[in-house]
Amino acid sequence: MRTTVGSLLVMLLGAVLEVVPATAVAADAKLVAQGKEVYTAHCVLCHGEKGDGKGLTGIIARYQKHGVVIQLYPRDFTAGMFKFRTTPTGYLPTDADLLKTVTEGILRSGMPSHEDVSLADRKAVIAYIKTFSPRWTEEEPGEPIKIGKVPSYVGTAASVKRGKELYKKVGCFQCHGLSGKGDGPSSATLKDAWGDAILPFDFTSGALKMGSGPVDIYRTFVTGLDGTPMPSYEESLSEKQRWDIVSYCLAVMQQGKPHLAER
Amino acid sequence: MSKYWLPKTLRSRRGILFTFLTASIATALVVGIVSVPSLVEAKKNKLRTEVHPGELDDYYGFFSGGHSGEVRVLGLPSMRLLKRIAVFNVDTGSGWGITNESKAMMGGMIVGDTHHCHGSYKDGTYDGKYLWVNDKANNRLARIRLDLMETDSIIKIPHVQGTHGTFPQRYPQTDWVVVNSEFRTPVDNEGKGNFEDPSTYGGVHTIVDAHKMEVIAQVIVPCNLDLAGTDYQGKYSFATSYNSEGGATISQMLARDRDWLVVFNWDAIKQALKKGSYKVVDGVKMLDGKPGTGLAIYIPIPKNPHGVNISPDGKYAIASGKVSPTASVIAIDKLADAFAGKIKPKDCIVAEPQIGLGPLHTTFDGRGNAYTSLFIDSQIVKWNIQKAIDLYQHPKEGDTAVVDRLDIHYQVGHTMASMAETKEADGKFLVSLNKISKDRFLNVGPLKPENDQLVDISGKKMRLIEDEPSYVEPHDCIIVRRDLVEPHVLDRAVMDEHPLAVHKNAIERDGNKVTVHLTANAPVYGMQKVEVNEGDEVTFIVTNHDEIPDLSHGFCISEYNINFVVGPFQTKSVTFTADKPGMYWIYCTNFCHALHLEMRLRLLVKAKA
Repeated sequence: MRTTVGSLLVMLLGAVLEVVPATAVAADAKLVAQGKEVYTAHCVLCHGEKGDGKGLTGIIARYQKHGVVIQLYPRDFTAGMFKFRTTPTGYLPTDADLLKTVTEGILRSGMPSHEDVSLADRKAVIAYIKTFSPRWTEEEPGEPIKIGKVPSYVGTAASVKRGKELYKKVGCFQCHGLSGKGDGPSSATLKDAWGDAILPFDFTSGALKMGSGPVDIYRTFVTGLDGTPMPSYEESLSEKQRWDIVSYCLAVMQQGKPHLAER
Repeated sequence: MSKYWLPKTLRSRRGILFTFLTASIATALVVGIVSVPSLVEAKKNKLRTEVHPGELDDYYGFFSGGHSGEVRVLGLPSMRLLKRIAVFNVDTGSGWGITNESKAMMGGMIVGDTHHCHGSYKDGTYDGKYLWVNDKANNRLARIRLDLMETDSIIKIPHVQGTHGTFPQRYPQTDWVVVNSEFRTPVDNEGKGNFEDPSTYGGVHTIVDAHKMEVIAQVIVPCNLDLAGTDYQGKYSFATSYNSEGGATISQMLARDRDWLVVFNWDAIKQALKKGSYKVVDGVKMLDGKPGTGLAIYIPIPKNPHGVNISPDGKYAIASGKVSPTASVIAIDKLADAFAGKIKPKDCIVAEPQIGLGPLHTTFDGRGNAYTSLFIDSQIVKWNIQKAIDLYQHPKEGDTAVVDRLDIHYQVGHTMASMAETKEADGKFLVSLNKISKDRFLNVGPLKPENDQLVDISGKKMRLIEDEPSYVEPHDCIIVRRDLVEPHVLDRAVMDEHPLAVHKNAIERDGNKVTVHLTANAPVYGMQKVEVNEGDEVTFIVTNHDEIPDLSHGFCISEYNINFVVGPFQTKSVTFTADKPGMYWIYCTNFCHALHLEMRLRLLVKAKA
């Protein structure tokens, strides 16, 4: 998290001094210029001219829970923080990570697939997006974490049971609730890195944003979702413990819906 | 003010009580106990009959839609139409009858005739989970789940025609739903043998498992069965029969002065099922309920009766005479003796008050009064049940149980008061569902709306509040307190309840079968182009991934006669043959976003070589 705070500080200073976002990182100014065109054509309406997620039609959701009005905006690129990565927490995502999001879109958000945009344009827009945050000039993206084959015990009753114990012990329930509905004791008090109210995900409610398979869930436990209160459990849990919690999460998601297990 | 806080000696002595109260109020006024604020409070507690913009109603009204085949949800007292729930009808607005999910339930039928819409019960009041509604036209029973307010099951009622009176078990909870067949029909209706002879026809009381939506058994009786009711103890169901004659023509059906209220004994039915005293016809257990079998008794009541309703205290079944100007009051606590043969069925009748011409249905205020619709008189008549019973025992010249009459406009069929089909009848509102509106609205041609009138019954006199035009043709309704329904209603579906909910956009091909798994997420579908070949059998499965309340997406395929709507987290699918080569825009029909117009994708159907 130290990196994150640091980069926020830099950003703040940058804003105060009216520093123009650095473009030095872009090896090719032409690529950035091309990316700007793509961005203006496809992205600006939601992510905004400044890349702060405050575009004209950008609000994804506005609702009230526990008396708190929650508004969800598209990703704010100025912080250089990204939820969906393959890199460890605190690290920038790889180009491949960004390309995946741009290409496939994000389920349950307003972020559409851009398969219709040429690969060259998608790569260019990634170069442009990097101009919004100074982090990209100061840091290198992390190494993608390695996830092995799904162990055979994932999904067994014993693993689900162990996962359930860990889910309580580690404190997952504090936010996500014992039933996974996102209604844990601290769910109403959570804030994201921007200081806005944020709700823990209700993973009984359907598709997960980055995929609902065991590997997708496992990846989130390792990478955390930077910018949200969802931390990484890379250091605090063993690999086996993480897979056990995956078992438990899958069991909660599939409860009463046996057809999901067949997928 | 309860009389029980008075000294025992003063109870039941009206004169003294009145004197005492008058004196108390006078004293209170003098010493200033009854203050101006408390009078203001009294005014504030007046029945709220207006619902201003931004305010919400106090009751849900669930109305059948007659031969429109649907069910409607209204708010009361505003009488605003909140939703039309497609059931047996095709509705291009929602896509009911177009999606695979709805077509699987409808079984190829698009005509329906809904009459009676009743809710699921727990301990004598609504539990807010389900509604059931009949289809008189094609003999079906549908269940609507109230969390989504959508139809979730439709079953065929076999061996019958004129599927009419429908009522759920009220106690201890709804495990059974009973359904009457109004038209006697040959059980084996294959157009063979002696099927012209009406004496071979049967009336059927069908018992449906409310949870599984399966027919448990059918009881065959020698007469037709019209309206239905159930008691408040889980022991009996009731059915009026206007054709005890077994006639096939109107003059034959009108021959007798008394027809029947048929009462079915649930314990006896359960025993018979346990003992195996039934025939299995087309896989359905069929019991013989004719007189003498002990499954049903036949109470003779005048004449060509129609409605039967149970008083909220569970004591009386009240059947309306239709052709006779009377209502028949049947004491439910006498039924056990009648089944045991200790008394005759007719001895269960404890009153037959004369109330007016063309009595059809009765509803209640929970204060001992009944309100009966009078079709011919175009009135709602309010009468006191106990007074009617007293006068039946000790007739008094010139005395009547009738308390009040209200002219309605015009020709009322059903009438229903708030919460009146529960033990919590609250005596606030009554709806008069009038068949004819004539001059009450701007003229819209020969086919005019019906007129549902809202009446305030909280006072001694009934008071007409408003007229509400309605499309064909609500027969019946229930009026349910908001707090019993609202907590169960969802803003979004549970995504994975649908086995095909889309988690990943994809196109699968298996020979000439193409399945498109597609998300809808304002303002885009998960894919912007889908290519198929002419002649392919194409299935689109669409899941709405927007979790914002009220953000629904449409899915219309231009030139392909397909449209449906998916609410937040819902999944719906459609299968069609891509028989028109060319490029066709698929677009969102349900306004969803500032970029709603851009929410579309291309369906490319490649022509055969």
